[in-house]
Amino acid sequence: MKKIGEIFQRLFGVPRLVFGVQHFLYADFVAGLVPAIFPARIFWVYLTGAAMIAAGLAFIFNRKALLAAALLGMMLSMFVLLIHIPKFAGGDLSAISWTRRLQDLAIAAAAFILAGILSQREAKNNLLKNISKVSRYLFAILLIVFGVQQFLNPDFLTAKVPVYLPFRMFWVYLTGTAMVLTGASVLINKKGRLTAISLGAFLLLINLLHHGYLVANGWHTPLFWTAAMLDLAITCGVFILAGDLCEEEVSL
Amino acid sequence: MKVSTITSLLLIAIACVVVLGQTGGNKMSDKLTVKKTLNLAVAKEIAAEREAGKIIGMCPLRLWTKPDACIKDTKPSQVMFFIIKK
Repeated sequence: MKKIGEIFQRLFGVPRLVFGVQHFLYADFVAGLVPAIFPARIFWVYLTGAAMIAAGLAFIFNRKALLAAALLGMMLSMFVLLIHIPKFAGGDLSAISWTRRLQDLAIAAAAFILAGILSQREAKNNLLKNISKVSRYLFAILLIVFGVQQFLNPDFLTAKVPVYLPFRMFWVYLTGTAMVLTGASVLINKKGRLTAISLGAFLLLINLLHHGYLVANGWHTPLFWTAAMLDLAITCGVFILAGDLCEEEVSL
Repeated sequence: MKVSTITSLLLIAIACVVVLGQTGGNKMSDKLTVKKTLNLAVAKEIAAEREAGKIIGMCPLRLWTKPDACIKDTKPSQVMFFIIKK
């Protein structure tokens, strides 16, 4: 499991690297997301992009990954505080915004969990370990929320079922059930590792089927790639969670 | 060459494919053009506001990149929710 965990730690860097490059490619668009109170918006876009590229490379090459994970978790938490919460306070209660803000929060939690795992291995920083523990439960709660979304809001899901699969809604609900069960298992500390690994493998498969199909039909559509990378980050987060639970079992 | 190095290079290659894949085709449109009739009123209003510089951010992303496809697939209420004004 340690080897698998390391592969997904490295894979976790791919979406970050892609998002970082996107900040430079679509700087004008991303600048629109920077809170209005910030001067020189384009500067913040490039800074964030550069930070994401650095984090992506750190995960992929497994160099300074602990620092990268901790900083990434902090940066995404700042996104939630400075972008998502003001939008929410401004009356943006739409389904897609809820999905996006919870996804950012989940990826932040995954980054902190990863920081906790790496910190544990290097036996330092108790604060990070504590943040990591809290993040584990936060990620579990978010899995339950994502799972419930599969039942309530099939337009903007975290785990999307390919359109060509027969009995599509069955798969949507099955995915939702699996997410809720995994979240609950982690929260009650029973079979959390097993359910997380199973959910991660399942998400990896349906993401591959869904996004592979979309990308094959719209190779040059940035939206498809962005959505694929977002879902990949969440899937890696599930595997990172599984890795965290394994590390805990070993250390007990 | 070590396995970890090969894995890293493979992942970098995947990231490159993802980035190059999305940049090779249609560029992100700077001007919002609306051709389809579905949700046209809403789309025109959004386009006019953007021209006037009132809109500084908007989702779904397709409204920037693929307005036709977006207008075809997205309900007006979903579009209206995601406009951020100065």
